[in-house]
Amino acid sequence: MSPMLDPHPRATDCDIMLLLEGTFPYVSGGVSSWVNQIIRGFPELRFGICFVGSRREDYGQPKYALPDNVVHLETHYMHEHRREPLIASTEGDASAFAQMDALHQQLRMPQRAGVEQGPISALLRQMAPLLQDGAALDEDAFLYSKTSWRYIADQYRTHCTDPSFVDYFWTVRIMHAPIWILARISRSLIPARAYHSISTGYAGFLGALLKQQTGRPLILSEHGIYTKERKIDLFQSEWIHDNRGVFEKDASQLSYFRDLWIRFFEALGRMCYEAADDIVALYEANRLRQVHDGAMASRTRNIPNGIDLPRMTRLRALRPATPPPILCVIGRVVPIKDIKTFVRAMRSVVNLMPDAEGWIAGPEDEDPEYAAECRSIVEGLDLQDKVKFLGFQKIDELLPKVGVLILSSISEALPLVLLEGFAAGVPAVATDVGSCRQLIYGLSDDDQALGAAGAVVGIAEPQALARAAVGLLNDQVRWNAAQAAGIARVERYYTQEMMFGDYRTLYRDSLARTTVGTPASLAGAELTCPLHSNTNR
Amino acid sequence: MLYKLIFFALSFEFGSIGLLFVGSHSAALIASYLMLHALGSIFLALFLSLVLPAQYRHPRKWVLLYLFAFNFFIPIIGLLCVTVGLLLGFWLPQRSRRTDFDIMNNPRFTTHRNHEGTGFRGGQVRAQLGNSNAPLDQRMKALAAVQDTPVRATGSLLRGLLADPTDDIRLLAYGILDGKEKNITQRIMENRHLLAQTTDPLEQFGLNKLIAELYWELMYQDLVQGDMRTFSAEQVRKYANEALLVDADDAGLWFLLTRLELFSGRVDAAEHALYQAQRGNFVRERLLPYLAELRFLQRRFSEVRALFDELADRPGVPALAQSRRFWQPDMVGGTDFTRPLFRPQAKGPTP
Repeated sequence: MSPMLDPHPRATDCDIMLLLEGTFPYVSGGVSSWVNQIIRGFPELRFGICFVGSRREDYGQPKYALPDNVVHLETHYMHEHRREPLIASTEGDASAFAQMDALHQQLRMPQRAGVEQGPISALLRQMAPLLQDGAALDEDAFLYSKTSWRYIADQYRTHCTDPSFVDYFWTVRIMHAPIWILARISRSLIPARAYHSISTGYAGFLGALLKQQTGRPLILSEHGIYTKERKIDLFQSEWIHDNRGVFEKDASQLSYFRDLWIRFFEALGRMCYEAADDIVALYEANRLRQVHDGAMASRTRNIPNGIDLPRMTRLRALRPATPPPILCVIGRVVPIKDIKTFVRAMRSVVNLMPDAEGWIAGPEDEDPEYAAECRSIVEGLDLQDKVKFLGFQKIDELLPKVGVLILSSISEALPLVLLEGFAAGVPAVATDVGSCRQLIYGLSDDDQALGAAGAVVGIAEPQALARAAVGLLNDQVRWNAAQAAGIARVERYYTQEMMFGDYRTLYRDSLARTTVGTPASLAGAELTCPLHSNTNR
Repeated sequence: MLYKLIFFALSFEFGSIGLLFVGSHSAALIASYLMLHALGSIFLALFLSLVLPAQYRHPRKWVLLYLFAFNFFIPIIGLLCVTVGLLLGFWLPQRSRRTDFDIMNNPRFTTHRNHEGTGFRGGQVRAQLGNSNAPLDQRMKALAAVQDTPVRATGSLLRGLLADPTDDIRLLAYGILDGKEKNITQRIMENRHLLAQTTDPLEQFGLNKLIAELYWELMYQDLVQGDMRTFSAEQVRKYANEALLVDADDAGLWFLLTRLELFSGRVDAAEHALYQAQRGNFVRERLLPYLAELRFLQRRFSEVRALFDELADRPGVPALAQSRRFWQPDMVGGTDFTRPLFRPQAKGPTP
């Protein structure tokens, strides 16, 4: 793309390079809002963004205006068609492949929670330079060399339990292709004083490569647990073949390719955990999960989300005297939000409270098929007058009109929308996922003493969801108590200032570590990349 | 409620009788008497319909009419007769129950098909999934092992796992259930779309029938609960009836409605549908278990036994054979006290 047409800001260096996979600024949602909040919360820092996505056509225009302190944005796509390579007969470097084999063997070894797996980092550090174009393990060597063919065939004979070599061969090639794209990005990315990835996966692996190549600090902040979500996707994916015959199948054994994909993402996650200097979770259960998945416990910490309290507090004055009979889900209309359960619950709610309405406030463009399915259920349940799809709404205008916030999701981390609702004086009924129980009933004894800010129900239980919401709306005393508990909780534990304070410390420490390695950067001199120190910039 | 009804019934009845002793014979007085007596009879009929033994309460409108007429046309004596009848209704079955029946244990049938995943390390799949202390990988694999099993067999297990403390298990169980439901609802949407576009009656018939069957599948596979189940049942009726407008003799549709109404506990509707299926020459052998279930719900036990006798010479699924053997006359009330005895527990379609 020519610089004239490039709409993205460009810079030669930055303070913090955010590594974002499938999120800000092209996808709206909780994680994107958080990224936006963090960038705007540190106007003194110059942020760069490296966006990693699947294909360009999967994303439309940016959903967020870039803050002024984003000085650099570049986008990369893992599954875009690339030029046909020039195919030539090559033998390949056996010793480089032996190094790759050593890394694979390390990754095959079962990990022990919280125990450092030094060899993985060391091997990745050795291998990273070999991945660049023209080196012994470049993409052409992997795709076309005889050594590679022999290695893949040998791995198939040793490990694969699926009878199809053809499927194995292509699965391995397709699976590993993004590694070289990420390696290329890591070589070309502008220098940064620290890297901050918001997930493991491809972005996290890119962070690991950057850490190994530049020695600059890597921070990992996970909202959900990427590897877990990938694993669940893969368990259910129908595109993964299983060529075992009836007599070869054992119900207790996953199909080899499914298992291979899962192990691939687990390996990416382990390499990222291994490389990260600081690993942040939103709440304790996720932190423990990170430790279970290979993160060193000493590098982990919890920093819960926080919200802009004054902005939300103002909305309380706009509320009517009694809670309006409006149940509202605020979020994207996507399967993970389980909007279908909310719609089904509304059938029961309307049976119990005929004047109640259900609002779904969120964009429908991310999964139009799912949105259509939700609408057809609304129609089928004869709820056209009672359930309204509002599309994207300004939360400041919406919250004063809502009686109870509903969160019907099947998976969440620490949903910002609940905190914003509490601050604006709206209690919530949420499913028992992520930290919702902690947000509604409290975590510590002091927190629990504040009371319940609503109710928690099981996932995919429309009747229970309906009963809990109607119970809250029909009982003014209980509703008032829930409102007071929500306000007290968010004011005491979940303010933006607390979150910014924690991240300020984290960024300051990371940038200070960079200073030790590259003193010029703090002194205000031009920041240079160790990889490109000879480059004339 | 009962006290109010009997209070009003007796008040109106005594009021009407009081009018008879006024001494006047004017038409207005007679009209007043008849009005009060009618009101008394209505309240009495309502009262009695609520205290009747359960088996005599249906069909409700005919029972109400009968009680009203009995009290209205035979004042006082009618009431006495109904009271005596009521007492007999309670006392006689208890007496015969004491002589003809015994307390019985639930029968324990061994079904032919094993539970899902029994091949999984010696049938441990349920145990592994239910044990939240088992290693996560093993539990995930156990769950993956049941994901290709029909949800009818795994529905309760999977729904139980929606409350599992482990996120992965909960999400995968949800995903399996949601995926299965989605497959069917997508087909429903596609066919509804096609139905909206066609004007050919034969195509309309085929599509209506298919949509009714798909909604039934949602219920049969145990994929919908609560209001959604009620809604699905209504949709089966709606689309089946649309199809029957084109071909009222389609025995398959009547058979589908028979199963639906038995499943929904609507005995009268099931009887009608079953009759129509028989009229349409639906294979009697497949109807027999449902007919037996219907007669069982109607408490016509001797006919249940006769129907199982009829099943005797016909091959059937093993669970049915066990039911049939249980209902054989020489077994029930016989001397074999060690056999499992039958007590109905829940309504539902015969396997």
